Amino acid sequence: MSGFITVEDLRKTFGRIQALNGVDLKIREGEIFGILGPNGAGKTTLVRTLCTLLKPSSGQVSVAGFTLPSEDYKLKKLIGYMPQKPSLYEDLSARKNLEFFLNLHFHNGLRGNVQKKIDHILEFVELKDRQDDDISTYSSGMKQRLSLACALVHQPKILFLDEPTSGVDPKLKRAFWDYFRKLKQEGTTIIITTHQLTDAENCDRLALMKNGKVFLVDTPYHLKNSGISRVRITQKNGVKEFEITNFSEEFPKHLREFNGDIQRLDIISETLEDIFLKLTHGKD
Amino acid sequence: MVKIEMVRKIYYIALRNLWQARKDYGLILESIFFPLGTLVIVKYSFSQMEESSYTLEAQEMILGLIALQIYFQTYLMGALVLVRERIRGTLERMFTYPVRKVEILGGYLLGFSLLGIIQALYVLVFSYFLFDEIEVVFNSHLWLLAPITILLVFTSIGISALISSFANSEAQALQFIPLVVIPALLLSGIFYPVELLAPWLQKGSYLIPLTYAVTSMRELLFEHGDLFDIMPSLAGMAILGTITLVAGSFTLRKTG
Repeated sequence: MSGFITVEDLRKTFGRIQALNGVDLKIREGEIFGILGPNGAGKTTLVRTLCTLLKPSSGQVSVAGFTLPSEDYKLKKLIGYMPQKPSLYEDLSARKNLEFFLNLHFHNGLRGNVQKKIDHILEFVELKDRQDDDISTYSSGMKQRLSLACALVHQPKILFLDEPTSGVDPKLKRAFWDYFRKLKQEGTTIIITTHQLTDAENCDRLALMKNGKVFLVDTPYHLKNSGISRVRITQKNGVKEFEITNFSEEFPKHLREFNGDIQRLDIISETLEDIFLKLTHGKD
Repeated sequence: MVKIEMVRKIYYIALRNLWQARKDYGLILESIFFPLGTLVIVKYSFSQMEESSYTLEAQEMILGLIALQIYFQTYLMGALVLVRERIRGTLERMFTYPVRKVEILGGYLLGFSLLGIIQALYVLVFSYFLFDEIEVVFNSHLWLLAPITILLVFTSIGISALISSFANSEAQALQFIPLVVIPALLLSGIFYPVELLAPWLQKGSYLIPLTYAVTSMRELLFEHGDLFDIMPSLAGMAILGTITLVAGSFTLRKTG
């Protein structure tokens, strides 16, 4: 095996349900890796296995050099996990939640640093004004932000985020992605599961899952380019229409045919969502 | 270094449990008034009955009731807190941190032991003013109530961890209360001596942690026993506690 995170023929069953059906994957250190798929594809099961919550039924899993499940405790010191539901102590304030989770991690006992780390992360997720309120009074978006903060506060080397931007407004979503890119520059590896194609476009690479298997791994750029673009060119003497794939490279070749005689150009390209639906529907 | 880390995590988990419980007003009121109310009923009912071989003196029942309260209260709080943690996902979240099951259970043990000791003390103080005959209880070996309480809490947490894994909601956790309380009430010797039970039931009473707590408390406070005298009871609770806690720890991973 090679790769920072490697998965070979990973299978996971829950009773009669085969949630993971032979997953093969290699994730590089320091990349933002997206896992895309319809409901029930196995995304969350895969992420929960990688972050030590589930034991594989069979197959080999290695994360940052640690074999799972035997070396899971050593790996836990390096990871942060943000689950799909907020998973927070509703009776405590945001600050108390962060203090508790940070104290489960904190090893060198520098008390001052604990408060500084918490201040910094509360500012980032824009919860500083409400840090002492019970989170039972928070909106779902605020809880989502705090859940992300709990995953980040101890500065993990590997982040597992299960649909991190659901319930978050566009402005804050952009701020999250700016932060994820900053973390990537610092060497953090980020694995994100998402339904949202706007998130997928921000990833370095994407894995598409269906029926417990990964059937395609590629960059968002290549995936978008693999879609069909319908081009309609209006000339002096009429209209020409054609379809091409790999738009960025093929379209310039077609342009030469028209010798500058283009009065109007209409392009309808398949979006990443269209491509995703086509690919996942085709795998039924 | 590893041991300091373990103690530190146990401390923070205990602190979090205790801090969380502060908002549970129903539980707090119940834990204060239920034992006191029961003692008042004991004073004005059982103590009026003629003494016979079928009853115990009211003061002997008090100790059994203190033990029952600690046992029941710990089960209730432990099961409710664990079920809430499972439903909300905070237990699962904790498992992604470098925390071992022994540290999680240790945190519960530490937090609830403190609560159990505080409960035992205020009930004893209340009994001092309610019952004239209770003075005999306050002797120099009173401090040995602490290990008895801690071991009782130890067994109760294992039971709550085990039972909470079968409960998908707080209401379901409450439904198990009769299973936990009624055998303990009838077989541990609180209201009548265990020796009066049928032989096969007496054997069953050895499987109930409360039996050992009740026996050791009486030996300590009415028969002026010392640590050596209560050692067999402490050992009994330690064995049962280990079994229930190990069984409970296997089910701890199961999420809601």
